[in-house]
Amino acid sequence: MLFQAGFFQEVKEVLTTKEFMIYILEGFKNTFLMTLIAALIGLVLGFLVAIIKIFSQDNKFLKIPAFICNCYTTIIRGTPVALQLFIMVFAILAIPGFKETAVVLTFGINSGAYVSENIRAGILSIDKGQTEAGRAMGLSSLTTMIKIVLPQAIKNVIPSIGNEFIALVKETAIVSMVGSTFGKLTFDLNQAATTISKDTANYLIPAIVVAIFYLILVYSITLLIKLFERRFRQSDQR
Amino acid sequence: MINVKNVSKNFGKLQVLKDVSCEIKKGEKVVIIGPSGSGKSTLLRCMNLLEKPSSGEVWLDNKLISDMDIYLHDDLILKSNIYHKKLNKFIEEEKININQLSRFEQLKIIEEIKKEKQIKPILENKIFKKEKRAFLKENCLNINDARKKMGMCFQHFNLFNNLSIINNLILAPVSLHLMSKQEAIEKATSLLQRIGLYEKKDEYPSKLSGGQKQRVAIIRSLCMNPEVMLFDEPTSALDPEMVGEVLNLMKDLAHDGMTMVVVTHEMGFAKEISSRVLFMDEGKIMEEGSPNDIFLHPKSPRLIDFLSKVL
Ligand SMILES: Nc1ncnc2c1ncn2[C@@H]1O[C@H](COP(=O)(O)OP(=O)(O)O)[C@@H](O)[C@H]1O
Ligand SMILES: [Mg+2]
Repeated sequence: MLFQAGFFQEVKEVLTTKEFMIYILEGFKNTFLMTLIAALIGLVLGFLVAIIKIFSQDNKFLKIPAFICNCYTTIIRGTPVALQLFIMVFAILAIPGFKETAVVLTFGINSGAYVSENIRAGILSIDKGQTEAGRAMGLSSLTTMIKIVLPQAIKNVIPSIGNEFIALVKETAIVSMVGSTFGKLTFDLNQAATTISKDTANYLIPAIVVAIFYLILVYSITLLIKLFERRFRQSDQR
Repeated sequence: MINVKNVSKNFGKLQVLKDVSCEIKKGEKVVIIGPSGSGKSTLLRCMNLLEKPSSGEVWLDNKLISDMDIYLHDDLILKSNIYHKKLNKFIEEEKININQLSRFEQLKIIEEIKKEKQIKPILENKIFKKEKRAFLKENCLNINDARKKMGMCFQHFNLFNNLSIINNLILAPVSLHLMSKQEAIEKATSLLQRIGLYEKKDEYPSKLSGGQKQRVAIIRSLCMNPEVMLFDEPTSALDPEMVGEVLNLMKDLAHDGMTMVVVTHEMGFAKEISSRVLFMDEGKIMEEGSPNDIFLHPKSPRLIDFLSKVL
């Protein structure tokens, strides 16, 4: 069925119909934006949570924040993201006009839980001697963390954080579960495919076209990560 | 300079240091020897608080650097006027003569009073807080400030892997605003030239040999102009042919008059430069004396046994 005569013709038709392309490009833009904002939220949250957890080991003032952080990662990683999306959109942030915020926050908060575990593992993998040497010279634990431990940890965790973000790109597709209309941030690539298929009365072809755009996005991220990795490795030839 | 008073250290149930006291005077070169696991590293690391003593005090230049909170509260409580009234009342009630109390007993009483929660209003009292601040300023030194005065060299060098050699050297003095970047680079440059590694200044630590790493680690501490240097088996992780270069640098330091505390198994080095040798076993300083006393006239059977194994 896939390779029947008219297949490429139909793909070409989707790609050359102006109206369809507007949907696809809008969806592409929104999928990209959602991923980007969520990834940034995830990174900030991830660093914060990881550092609070690590420092709480010998700072009694951080015991309660660390407990909250532990609850956060346990709950987020222990429940499906689809459920989190529902709860956020229809309960916690069920305010008219805040759906886009709620969606992006859900993905960001979800991603932060996974990123924090990656970063924490990265920090723990750095030899304790590095911290001790920094502290022994009179540097504060925060300075030691920022100037010595984190740069080494980040280098080690770029690949796994990259994987997190690649997963995130595809995860944003579940946004269609809470519905959206053209022109909103939540109108993603997946929704573009659904919308087009209503006009073409064929779901397969738009789906394949959209899949190609997902691939382009994911592959660009992969390349970006490789670039980062190489940059970081240059500063530490082994 | 460094005064360790009645320090004990427990790791869980294991007591690694048992009521150890020792004093390091300015200009002294103290070598600590003893069998593996006897607590040498732990004692050294208690001196710069990389390990926190479970009990006891560590003083640097007559300033308390260990566990200020507990000590401070208690000591300040003893000094505080407000407290004295309460204490006296308590003492009257309990019919204790305050002059006959040892410090330990005083602390016990404080503990009792703390339990009764009478202490809380006092601790939150404004005058008390003011007194506490004044007391702190006068008698205590913040741990990070103390560490600026104490260099430390580790068995495994612990150079910062993410920084080039020159940045390893200037990171701490510049981040702590002890020197401008310019001054730090000048200082680092002259030290690198002194150990003959100036051409390596832009390399990363992974490109250096063990001996080079340890020498860089030593001058990294020297960049801070420390008053005392602590060494924890600086040559134990080195290939034999590299031990000499590191020991030579340490001898130079000793001749320049640096105060040094060195944990080592290099008995020749100990004999040559030390002014005093401490022999540790099972968490205690079993014997101490001049290198002559320790190496030529050992007294305790443990030391005799130990020396017969290592010499
Ligand atoms: N962080 C730690 N946790 C638990 N036990 C420790 C720790 N550090 C040291 N020890 C134990 O304390 C004892 C003394 O250690 P250490 O001071 O390193 O001895 P030395 O340097 O004389 O060989 C050893 O039995 C060691 O296993
Ligand atoms: Mg040791």
